[in-house]
Amino acid sequence: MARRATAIAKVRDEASGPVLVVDTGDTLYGKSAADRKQAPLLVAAMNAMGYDAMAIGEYELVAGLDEVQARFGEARFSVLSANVGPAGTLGISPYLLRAYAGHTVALIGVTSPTAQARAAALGLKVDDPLEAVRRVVQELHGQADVILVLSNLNAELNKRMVSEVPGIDAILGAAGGATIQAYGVAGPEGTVVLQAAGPEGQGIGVLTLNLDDQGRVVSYNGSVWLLTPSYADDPEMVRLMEQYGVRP
Amino acid sequence: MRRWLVGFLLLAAVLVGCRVEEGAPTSYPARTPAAPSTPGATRTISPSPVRPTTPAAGKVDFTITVVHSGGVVGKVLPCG
Repeated sequence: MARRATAIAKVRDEASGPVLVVDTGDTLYGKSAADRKQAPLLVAAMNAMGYDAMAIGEYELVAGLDEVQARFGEARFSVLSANVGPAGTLGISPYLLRAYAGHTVALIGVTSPTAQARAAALGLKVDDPLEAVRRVVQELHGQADVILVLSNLNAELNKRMVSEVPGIDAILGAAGGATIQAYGVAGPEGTVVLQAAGPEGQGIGVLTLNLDDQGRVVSYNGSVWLLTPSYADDPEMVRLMEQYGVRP
Repeated sequence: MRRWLVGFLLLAAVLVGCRVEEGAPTSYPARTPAAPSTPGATRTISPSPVRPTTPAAGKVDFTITVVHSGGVVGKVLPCG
C-alpha cells in the first residue's frame, strides 16, 4: 500500500490534466478472518490517497451490517453501485459526476450478481447489472461527456456490457482478478476501452483519455503498473500503517 | 521438337504452379481478440458513426487520467 501511494503521487505529478482515483471493489474484506481485520486501515489509506470512488463488490458486503455501515461512513470517497439497493441505503450512490473545465465525467459502479447472498444478509438486493447500468447511462444522457464504469463484474459480463449498453467510454476493473492492459472494443456507439489492474493490489491501472473540444474521447493511453520495489514506500502511508499496527 | 515441347510443358507447369501458390489463400486467418495495448502507446479511436463528428474531432483539447485498483480482498501488502 505504501508503494501504491507513491505510484499515485507519481501519476498526479506527471498528468497534464485532472486525475481520478477509483477502486473497482472486492477490496475491503477478504476470505480469511485475518483479511477481514484490515478494512479500517484500507479505508483510512484510501482516504489519504485521495480516492474519489469505490464500486461495491461481494467482498465489501461480507461483514456485519454495523461493520459495513461504519466503514462506508468513514469513507471520504463515494461508494458506488447502480444495482445494489434499496436506493440510498448505507450511503450507496449509483454514480458520481466530476466536472472539469467544461467537461463532465461520470463514474458508475456496478456489482457482481454473485454478491446477492451477501447483500441479502444485510437487507440489500442486487439487481441485474446490465439493466442497471443501461438505466443510469440513459439517465446521464446530456449530463456527462465521458462515462466510466467501475465494474465488479466478470469478463463475460463486461464483454456483454460493451455490446449491450450503448454510451460507455471505458470499463475498468474486476474481470475475475485478471490483469488486462487497456484495449479498445467496438461498441454500439464507438470504442469502449477495457482495463483491469489485477489481483490483491499488486498493480494499479493507469488510463489516460484524450478528449476533443466536444468532450468526445478521441484516443487513450493505458498501462498497468506493477508495484515492484522500484516504487519507494510513501513515508506518510508507512506512518498510517504503523498507527494500525501494520509494518509495510 | 519433342524435347522442346516437353521443356515447354514443364516450364508451363512450374509457372502455373507458382501462380496457384501465390493466389492460394482464399480465406483470411480467424480474427484474434483485440491485442492488449503496449504500455505507453496512445491508441486513436475512430470517429463513431453514431456520435457525429465535426471538423474539430480528433484534436485533443483536454486530458483526464484515471488510476484504478481493485480486488485487494482485505490484504495490506507492501506493494498494493
